Amino acid sequence: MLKLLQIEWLKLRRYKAFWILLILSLGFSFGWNYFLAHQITESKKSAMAKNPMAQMIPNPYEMPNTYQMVCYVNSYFLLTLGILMILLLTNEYNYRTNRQNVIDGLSRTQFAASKLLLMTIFAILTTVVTFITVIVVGLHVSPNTSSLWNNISFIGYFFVQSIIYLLAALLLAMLVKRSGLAIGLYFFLMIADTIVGLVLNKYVHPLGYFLPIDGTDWLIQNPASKFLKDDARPDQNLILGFSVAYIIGLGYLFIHFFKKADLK
Amino acid sequence: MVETHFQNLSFGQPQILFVYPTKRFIFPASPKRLTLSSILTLTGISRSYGRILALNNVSFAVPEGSVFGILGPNGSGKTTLLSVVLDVLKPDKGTYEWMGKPGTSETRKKIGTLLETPNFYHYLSAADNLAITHAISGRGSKEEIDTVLGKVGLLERKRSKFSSYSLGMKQRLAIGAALLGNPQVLVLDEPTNGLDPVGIAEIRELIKDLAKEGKTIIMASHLLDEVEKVCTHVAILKKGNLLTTGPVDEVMVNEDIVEVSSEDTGALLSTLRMIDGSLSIKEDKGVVHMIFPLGLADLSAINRHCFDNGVVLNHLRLKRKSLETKFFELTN
Repeated sequence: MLKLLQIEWLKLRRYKAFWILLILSLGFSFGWNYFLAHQITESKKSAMAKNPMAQMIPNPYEMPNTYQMVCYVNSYFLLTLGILMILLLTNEYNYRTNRQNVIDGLSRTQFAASKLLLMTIFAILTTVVTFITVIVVGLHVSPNTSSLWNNISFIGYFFVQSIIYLLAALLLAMLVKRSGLAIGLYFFLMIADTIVGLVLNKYVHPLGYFLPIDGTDWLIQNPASKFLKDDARPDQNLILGFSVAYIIGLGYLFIHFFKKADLK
Repeated sequence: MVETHFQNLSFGQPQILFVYPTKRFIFPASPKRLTLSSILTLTGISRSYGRILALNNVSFAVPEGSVFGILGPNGSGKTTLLSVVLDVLKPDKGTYEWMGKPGTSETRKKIGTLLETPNFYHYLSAADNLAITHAISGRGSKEEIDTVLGKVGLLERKRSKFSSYSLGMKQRLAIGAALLGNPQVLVLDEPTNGLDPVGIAEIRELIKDLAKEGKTIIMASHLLDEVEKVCTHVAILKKGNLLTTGPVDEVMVNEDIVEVSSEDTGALLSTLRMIDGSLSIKEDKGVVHMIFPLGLADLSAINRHCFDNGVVLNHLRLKRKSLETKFFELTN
């Protein structure tokens, strides 16, 4: 396993697009939240100075809401990592290095597994950055540490979500093989899945909660949407269970396709 | 056209000129080496692309220590065949064995391979690309990367990105990658693709040197001249069918061709037709080609017969078929 990661590292360490997309994604995950939290907190403070009633306005960055807000915001930056994942796999097809790797002595399963491993590393990285962001921003906005760990389960949801987002990118890249088309379809898929989820929930409630990508979006909902309460919403753990099942199924499909395919 | 050294052909002293093609390089293959087991054995390999049958029940064996040429016109299935034995394509039917065992990723690690095109990471340098080859295959060492790059003439450009390389340089790098770690078996698919004449000659020398070291080289090519110069064994493919396989000498030479010409071609033809034993007689631009079964052409007898019948020869030559002739004959 370490050997596979070492090979991936040799491919990545001098690849500019990798560093740019990784730093952009991780940098924004922290920076944008920090900026937003600071702005909201400051404007709330100035509003309170004019009218003490403004204290009633909720600040989504106040602990323990920080978890949900940061995870929600960062789900958008996952798309950058998704694009990176697409590039890394379509590069292999483009340069035909997928077949060269196999010719040189990787088994097909090892090749597919090395991409899944890389995906997991990216998911861990972005989850760790998200967690650090929650703690730093949360303490900055509300120095009260009593509720610091209250909503930590969101970090778990975020990890599952990042795996699903990146796995979808990998599968698309494998099926389409061309970077431009795959990135276009990736965005389309992200939007289409959300729309299908909403439509399903309207007509065949609660099926919309169990779509592969949209499901994890329900795990980390927009904090503002708590005002649009769905009383018949399925249990969070049930949605989580479905997401994990999707991950296992799609991961298996990814390896299975690669084992059978001609490496052109 | 009468060649100068034939001009002294006179009535009294019939001269027989035995011309044997000398350009072909034949390795002093030691009998010990050739009696060892085969490196690669294919048994009934078939593979289709949709309706097109790319390989049809192909079986042959590559002896250890041979330089094995896989020949065929474009689209005859050479690359498909190599792709199958390297697990890039799955066969529909049939099996293959490397060194007596079914092919696995572990066996591929020991084989230096250039398949079809140089496949490298465009944004990485030559040295970084070979570091990946080393990491995957375990062949060679970090220090050896420089040695190999020197061998293929890329040492000065080892820090340049692959994308900045010319076609010939890319091909050289691919050969370098195959050579890394000095593997005992090499698979080279059209190794001289994209190389300039100097590069082609260098690769040819390199292959000869490797063969002398006892390495087994499996080489696909449509350049017959190239194969004729370096190969000890061949397999000829056409539209996915194996036409023939065996040592180059046996595949190429199965007939004697006698080239004869004289001032009066008409009289020559009628005189030659009187000779028994020839398989066919053809005339082309004043030169008559007589085909005899292998070893049965008797040039003295032909010369004497013609002279006795009043036909004076100005050219008489025994030829072995060039691979090219053989190839056209088989594939057309």
